[in-house]
Amino acid sequence: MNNILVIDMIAVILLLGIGLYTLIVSRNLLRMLIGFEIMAKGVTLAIVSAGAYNGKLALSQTLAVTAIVVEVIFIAVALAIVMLIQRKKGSLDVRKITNLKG
Amino acid sequence: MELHMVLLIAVTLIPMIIAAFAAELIKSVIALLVGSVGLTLVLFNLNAPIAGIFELSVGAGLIAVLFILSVSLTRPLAKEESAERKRQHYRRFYVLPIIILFLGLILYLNKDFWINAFPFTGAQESASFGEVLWGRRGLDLIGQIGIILVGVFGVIVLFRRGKMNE
Repeated sequence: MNNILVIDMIAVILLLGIGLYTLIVSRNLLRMLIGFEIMAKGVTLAIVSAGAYNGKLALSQTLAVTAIVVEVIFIAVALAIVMLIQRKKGSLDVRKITNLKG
Repeated sequence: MELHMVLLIAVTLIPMIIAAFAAELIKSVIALLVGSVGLTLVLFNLNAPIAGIFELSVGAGLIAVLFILSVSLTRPLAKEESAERKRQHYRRFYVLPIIILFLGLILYLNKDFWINAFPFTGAQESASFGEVLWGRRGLDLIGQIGIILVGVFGVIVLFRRGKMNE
């Protein structure tokens, strides 16, 4: 079980790293959402593997289900906002949609 | 080392790196879908079938459909601009696989840290998934239903044809 926890936790950190790098480096709004999604997968894996390791799998599964629901709702609302921005500005590039000055 | 777990984690991680690295959005979304299927297999392997089924149906299925719809609704770039964007994209992302490889190696070499950081309690939970979900968690489920309604509102906005579209 120890070895599986080590593999899972390394995978969690790598998933969070990939997602964070994508969020920081990309300039396309849809790609930024993909980066968030990769990070959310890492969080789901972290919750379930910690529960499996400590013998509280039922509790960790309920929390994972909640995390997945919140993740999907976030993506649905964020995609709606992204679509509205694309219709209004004609671009998904974060550098082209800034209007505020200062 | 449990080889099957390493293989399943590889099935999850490699598509996720491709999802970040691919220049075309549709390829990124498909790679994300494959990575979600890999994560589902990992969850099944950890004896968490309910979370796995949820990840497969909602995390992989619904999110992939929403992303593909959004990508198909966006206006494609001109050919010259698209080629220039691709060049810029690969310039920004070429270090990602190297960073991930090094980070994975460093974490694996310090694997004792994880074993000490998470002390194994040895306690076994007797309650089932349904008992925990409906028995122990009461008020936050109402909040979750509220969040689902917010999501429905988001999908309605996604497919709305307003004045801006005309």
